[in-house]
Amino acid sequence: MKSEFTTSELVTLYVDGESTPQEEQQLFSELSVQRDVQQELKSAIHLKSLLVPELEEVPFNIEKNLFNRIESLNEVKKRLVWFEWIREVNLVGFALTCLAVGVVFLYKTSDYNRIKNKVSDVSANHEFTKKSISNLKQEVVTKKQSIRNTILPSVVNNHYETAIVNSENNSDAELYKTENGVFAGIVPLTADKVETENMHLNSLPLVQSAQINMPLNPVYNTTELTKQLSIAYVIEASNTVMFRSNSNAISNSMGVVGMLGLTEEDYIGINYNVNNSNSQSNALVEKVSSQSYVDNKSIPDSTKETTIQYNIKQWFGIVYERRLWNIGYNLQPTIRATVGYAGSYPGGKISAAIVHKSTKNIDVRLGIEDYLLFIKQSNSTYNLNSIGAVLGVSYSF
Amino acid sequence: MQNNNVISDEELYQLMCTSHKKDLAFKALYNRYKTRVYGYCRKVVGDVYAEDAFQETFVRFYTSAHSDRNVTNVIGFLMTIARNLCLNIKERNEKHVVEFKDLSELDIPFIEDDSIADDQLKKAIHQALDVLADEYREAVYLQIYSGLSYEEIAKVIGKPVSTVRNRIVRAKTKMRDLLSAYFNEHHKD
Repeated sequence: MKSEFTTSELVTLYVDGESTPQEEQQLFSELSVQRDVQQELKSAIHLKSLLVPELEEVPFNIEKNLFNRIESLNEVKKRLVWFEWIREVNLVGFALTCLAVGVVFLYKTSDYNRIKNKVSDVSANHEFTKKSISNLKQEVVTKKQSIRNTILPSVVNNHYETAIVNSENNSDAELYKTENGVFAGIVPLTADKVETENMHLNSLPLVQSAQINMPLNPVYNTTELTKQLSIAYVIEASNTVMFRSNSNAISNSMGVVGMLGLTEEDYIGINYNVNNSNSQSNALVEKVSSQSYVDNKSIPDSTKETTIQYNIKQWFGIVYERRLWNIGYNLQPTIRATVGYAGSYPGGKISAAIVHKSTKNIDVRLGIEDYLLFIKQSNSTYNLNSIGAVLGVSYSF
Repeated sequence: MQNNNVISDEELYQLMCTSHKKDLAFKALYNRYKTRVYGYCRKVVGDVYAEDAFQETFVRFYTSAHSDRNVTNVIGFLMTIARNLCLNIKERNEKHVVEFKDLSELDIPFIEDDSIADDQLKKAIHQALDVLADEYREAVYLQIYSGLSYEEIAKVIGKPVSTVRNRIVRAKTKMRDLLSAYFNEHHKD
């Protein structure tokens, strides 16, 4: 059967190695007799040798942009893993649980309780019950009556006496007439004026008029409560240099992993004091500049050693810090525990440090830190354990 | 003889899909095919859009790696991504397509010196390629830059093998016609 292609096209097919045995047979039969076809074959082979790709190196900036995009894709993916996890455990439920735990924790540990108890104590001491306040009011009314019946007449009498004395000593004193004659001096109090004076006394503050030596309204304590409930924020910055790290595979297909040289992490956090004994519980934002490690396990069937670098950007977690006793020279040992996520990897940290209270607001800390991360990549999980030295400073408001 | 230490494309892609060494395997495949893909993109969409097509090709290749995906022809897969992206870019930018032209319109250099003949002829060949219709040129570029067989190219472009055979054979035969003067001169002895 004759091919659908012309002899020239058969030559192309043959040179490309794509001709069928029948096409080859047809081509060979024509090659043996036709000089033109032989010439075509030479041209086709020459053309094939020249039809090579024009390859040139990919420009650096294009490669850089590409790998930046891939890295950012990985970051997004890691965050998605985190959000997926939150979604799995129900975002709303998670948020409400956190809120409830936080409120209970604050309520139990903050100064609010202490101050509330203090106010209760004050109330108890002064018996500020409805009944006692009612009794106090009655006492005030009684005292007012007493003032009307005894103190006021004496004030009025004194007023008259003063008026007479003044009239005798003052030539400019006003002349006034009463049923008892004409007098010079200040007009004596009439019944109306006595009532006016009485009203003036009534308008005096209750405490003053009753002369009760106790606060009826605990204004001072309310102020103290407001003041104590304002949260004392602490801004802390620290840097940790890791000087020893190692990692072990927890699950399958993972070789020994070693940290790549020194790594460090920078921490900037806003903490708040929970109570006066200097314990802290923090919502933490921490930036890790670079944590890289080398996977020395070769790819299967490869003689090359391989390097994989993981960059962990941020820590998110809950921190609890307990400051211990003051050992003198303004030095205080502290221990701190962190539980949270470094990037999308769960982990925890524990650190012990000596804190020096340099000024009223500034603390300087020096200590050691050990952290443990659980890293999951594809089907493998590793733990990454590092120990390092931490130097930090914090400022309290 | 095959070097046993060289990991095949398929093994590397498998590592990309199932292993924590995804980035490493990706880089190995990238290094193998970056110049081919970049060259193809430049040829198809030109320098201006080549960067976008090239980056997007490898980003999609990277994100395509899932544990449930099985790719047996990595370069074919890469070229499929690159081709589709290039076609989209071309459609968006409505690049003017030049159909077959008369030989006289081609700016094929006059060759005097045999020592530089091949270099000049390479340029002439690529000029000749440029004047082919899109579908012919595309098939030839895929063959040149990917090294794929007709059957594999057919899978990349989603056409029957017979169509690919026709396109490539006719394109190359046409190119030989276009350049016959040179070839006849070169091979007359």
